[in-house]
Amino acid sequence: MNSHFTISSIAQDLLNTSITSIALTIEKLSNHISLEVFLTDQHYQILALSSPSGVSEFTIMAIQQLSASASTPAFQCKIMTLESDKYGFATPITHGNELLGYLFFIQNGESYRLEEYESLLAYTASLFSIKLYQNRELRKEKMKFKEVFLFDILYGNFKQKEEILEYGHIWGWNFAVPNTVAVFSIADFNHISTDQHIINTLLYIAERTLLERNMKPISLKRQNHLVIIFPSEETEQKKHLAQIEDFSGTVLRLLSTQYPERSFSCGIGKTYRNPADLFRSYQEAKVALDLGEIMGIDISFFTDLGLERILYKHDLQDLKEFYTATLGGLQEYDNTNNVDLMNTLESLVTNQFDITATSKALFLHRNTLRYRMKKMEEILDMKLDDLNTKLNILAAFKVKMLRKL
Amino acid sequence: MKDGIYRNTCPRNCYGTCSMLSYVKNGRLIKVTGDPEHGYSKGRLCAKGYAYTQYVYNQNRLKYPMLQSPRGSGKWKRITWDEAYTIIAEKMIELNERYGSNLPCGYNKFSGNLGLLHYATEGMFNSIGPHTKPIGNPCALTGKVANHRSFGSHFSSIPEDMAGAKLIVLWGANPAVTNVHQMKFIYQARKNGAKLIVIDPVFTQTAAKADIFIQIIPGTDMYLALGIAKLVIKNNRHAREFLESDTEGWNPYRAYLDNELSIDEICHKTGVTMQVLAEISELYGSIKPVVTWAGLGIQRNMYGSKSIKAINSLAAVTGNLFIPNGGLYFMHFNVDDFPCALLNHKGPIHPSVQASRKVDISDFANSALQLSDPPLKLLWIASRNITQDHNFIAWQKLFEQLELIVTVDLYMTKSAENSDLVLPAATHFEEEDLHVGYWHFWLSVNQKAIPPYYEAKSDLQIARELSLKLNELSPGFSNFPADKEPIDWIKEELTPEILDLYSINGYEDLLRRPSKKAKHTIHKQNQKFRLFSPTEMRQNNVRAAEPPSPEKHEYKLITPQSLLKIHSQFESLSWLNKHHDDSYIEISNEAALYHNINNLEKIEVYNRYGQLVGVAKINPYLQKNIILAHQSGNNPINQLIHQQEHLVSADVSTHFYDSTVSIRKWSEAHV
Amino acid sequence: MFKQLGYVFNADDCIGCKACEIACKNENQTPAHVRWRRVSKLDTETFLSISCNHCENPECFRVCPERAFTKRSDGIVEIDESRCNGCKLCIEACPYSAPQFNSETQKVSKCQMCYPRQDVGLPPACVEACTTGALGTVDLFQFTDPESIRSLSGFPDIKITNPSIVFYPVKPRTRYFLK
Repeated sequence: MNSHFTISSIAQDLLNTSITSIALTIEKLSNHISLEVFLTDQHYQILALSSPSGVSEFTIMAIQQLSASASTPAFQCKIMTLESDKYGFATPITHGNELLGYLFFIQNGESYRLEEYESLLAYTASLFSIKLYQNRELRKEKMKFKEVFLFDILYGNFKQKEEILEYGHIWGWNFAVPNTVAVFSIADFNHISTDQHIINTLLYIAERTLLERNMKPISLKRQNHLVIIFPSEETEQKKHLAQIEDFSGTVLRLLSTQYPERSFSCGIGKTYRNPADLFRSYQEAKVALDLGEIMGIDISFFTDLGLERILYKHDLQDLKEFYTATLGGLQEYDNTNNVDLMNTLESLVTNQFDITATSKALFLHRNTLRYRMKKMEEILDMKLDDLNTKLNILAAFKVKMLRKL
Repeated sequence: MKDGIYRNTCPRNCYGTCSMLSYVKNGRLIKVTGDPEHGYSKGRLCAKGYAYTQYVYNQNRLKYPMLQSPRGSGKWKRITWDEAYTIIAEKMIELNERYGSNLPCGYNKFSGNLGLLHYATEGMFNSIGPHTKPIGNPCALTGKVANHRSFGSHFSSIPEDMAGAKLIVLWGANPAVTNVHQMKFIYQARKNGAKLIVIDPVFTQTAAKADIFIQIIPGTDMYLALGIAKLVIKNNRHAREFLESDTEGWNPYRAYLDNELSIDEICHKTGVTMQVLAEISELYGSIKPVVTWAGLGIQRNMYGSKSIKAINSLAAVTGNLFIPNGGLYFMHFNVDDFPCALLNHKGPIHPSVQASRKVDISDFANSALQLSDPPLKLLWIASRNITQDHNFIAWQKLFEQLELIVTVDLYMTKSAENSDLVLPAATHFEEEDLHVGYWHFWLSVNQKAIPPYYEAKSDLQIARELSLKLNELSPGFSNFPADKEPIDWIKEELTPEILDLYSINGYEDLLRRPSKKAKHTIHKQNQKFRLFSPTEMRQNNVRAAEPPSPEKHEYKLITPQSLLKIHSQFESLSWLNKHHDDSYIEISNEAALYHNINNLEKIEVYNRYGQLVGVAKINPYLQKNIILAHQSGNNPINQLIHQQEHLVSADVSTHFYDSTVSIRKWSEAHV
Repeated sequence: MFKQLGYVFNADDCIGCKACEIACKNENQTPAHVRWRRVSKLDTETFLSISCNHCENPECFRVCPERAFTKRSDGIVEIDESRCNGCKLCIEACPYSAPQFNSETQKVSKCQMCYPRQDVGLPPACVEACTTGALGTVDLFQFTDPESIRSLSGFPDIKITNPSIVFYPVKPRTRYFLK
């Protein structure tokens, strides 16, 4: 199969097809050269794929360039996907100075030389360049209106519900059902670096995950985060929240496989029946996101963060005083006696003051735990079974975590 | 007045003399902005400038002429302008009949409004023949005279040129507070690699921005300037050729530095260490161009004249005096280029009295009290609040002697409260005027933008109308040209020479934009530069003011300008000042410790001239024997300032920063 | 298309002259106690000039029961005073004391970044007034100066609200105080 293909034999065919459909052109190309061919956007997200041996989808994690052509922008590369590594040839697709995507030919095990394919790559790249540019302009135009609409919803610029319902129909979105806003973000976002690409991937993954669940994505990319408006098809609020949590979990899992060195989190606002109130859900989601990040929670619900929000906003000096008044004695005891009763108490709080659960978590005998609890009661001069004491201790630990005491 | 945008000029006694644009709607000033055509302020104002709408429409502004009887009772009665003029004119005529001349009538007018048409007060008094007039300048005269000695004329470089300097040395100047628009030129220089050095006894806001701040014992600038010059010469970094051929007194100056002034003495006097002295000398000697700026505070003590001359000489020694983007900054008196027709108005000749009596404004009350034949009986106060003067005890005595006190002001100042008559003055938005700066070299007009607030009138309008009343009651009493309109006076100032200096064709050009004096006309050398003369140094200050005594825990009182006031102006504007702002007395850590005073505790400041209560603010950067207090307010700090009589002379500024005070914790027992 | 207009405050250049604060009053003619912009001292020598920070996540906006706040596509957070019921929840929620209660009208108002001026291409009044250039505006979506910092010591916590303001810190200086 080590033969040369002359462009003239297939050029006309490809040109004709490229005017109508990208997918068809990829398929034709794949047939002509009997290789797997695929087209991606500039973020390596696959737009069209065709293979003589049948199509199986995959996600590209990274591209490693191996050698470059001397005469064209084409290069030989290693394509790392979630499933396996592939080898092949690629060319960037550009329009003017702008990168629009990449075209890939995959080797099927035998060894090929780049020179054999570079003129075909260059030619087809020019065909796709025109098509991708047209598509992108079209999409941009449409996106503009969509983004303005979503921005106005999320920033409370619609005061009337009817307006939202009407505009929503244009995009096929039903705002008559209750909705909840979820916000995804990356920790230590740096807008100067390539983090913008990660937000693009985030958008891609979130939308794909929604489509897999047969939901029409309502999404807006902001500078350092992604907003998803999640409609409730469940009459039961509990189930709706479970759905969101499951969705968010899936997105975060996919993200961390792709970017294991970065950390992502998600905040979820309250559910609102009136879409004119969705701006609140959006703000709540962002508050939940930030507090969640501080407390190390991946998916945090605004509704779960009542006490935390109050504590976080409170005057720091006052909080420090409260913390010292509540747990200062124990801290001091730990320091002077070189023990760690604080850890024991914290574990008790985490386990809802359940002795069995705590002793299990700490690998302690129940009696040892009981003894320590007695000791702590002496030091703090409080009764640990008193509800007021429990509340104070719980709050003090939250203060510690929130304000990094 | 038509709606629209008018061109005004802020007339305050300030470095900025900012041209401004006034937005007028339905005869009301709705906002002000800087004038982008003004090359110094470049379209910006200061906080005070932006508060002018409140200044104009303040509830506390005087609305009508008012008569207080008895004086000081607070019982004010609204009267008409005609009644007010009649009271004043009748008194003047009666005094003239009683004493045979107008010498019993005098005025005290200073810098409340620096517009050329505000010389109307002087013109008004000139027009009645010999009278009693103030002379001098409490603010800057020492420096003016010292600069005349150095240069043969006044001298101050062009502010915009500071942007091209490589080293900027501020001696006791605090532009971040008193001359905010200069800061951008300093920053511009700094962005191009210049260094900023601030030398000041006080860690000022400008000092905080300096690359190098050098704290100095107050009044010792002369020693530091001489010391730097000594090291520059020693290291052979001086401008030898220039000094030898273009200056006067080089040999004695050099010999004095070489042989009579030791580094030890300099360090001891100034408090500056040898290392720092070496560092600053190295910078002064090696960098060009260097800007040297002597602040006004330097010359408000008894060493002022010598300090200015020594600083001028340092600029000469380093060869920076006349080079582009170098130079020396103080302030200039370009107003002297103008005819100042109102100021110089010639009055009628008196058959026996040759001339007006002159009273030194730096010691007005005390000097006026010395006049006996005839005594001063009528005092007209305009553009002036006498709580900014010193020696309140003498003022009190003078008040007792006076039969009529008239104050023209916008607000009920302390001076107004002590008057028989107050006359409501117009703001600059309500009158025409012409302004020339004393720092920058721009000339600008002031249009009438709005109708007067209630019955307020300009100084010129008052002069015109009072003159008419005088002549009505006593024909020929005044020769004031009452029919001349403000625009006539403005045009009279714009002589062909002035039009040429400012490259304009006439008044109308100034309505379009302010105009800058042509560069080549700014400094004309008419004599060689005179270096600091060591003979002056050798004359001992036998009768020097007593310095604060550390044993007695006495403190030197320094009263710098506040950011949001000019003396007592602007103090009642709620946008700018709250009532408690003025009573802070800043004390050092050491003083707080010694007197056991806590921050924000009430304290008393006192000396033999008076006492006042304020709130202590501990300033960790303050020298241990200095106290800082704000000017004006309800209880003016100037009551503790008293320049000793033997140090007063007609060619010095008031020694505002030479007074000694003591402090103690406030207690009811002291009241 | 979307912007996030914000302020740039250079603490090193600010001389604390308060021209910005009063220029705001001059432009908007607010009473003395309604301070849309304020100059204060963070420590003995660092000034801070702040107004509403037109936060990415405005808390005022979230808590307002009357939906009086909106965010424009250029990032400016506006308040429609006619919707305000004077409940002051926004004042409690804002870490920067941006919403100001007018005791005469019983309504809240705040800095609107002079949008009527910006809409005709003029800078906000406070920025125009800054004689040293210490205060400016930028589109934070485009702003990339690595020397700028997100907060100054003493500035309220920026978490949650994400204020649209960036800073340049005070540089160290040489000082010789008398012994």
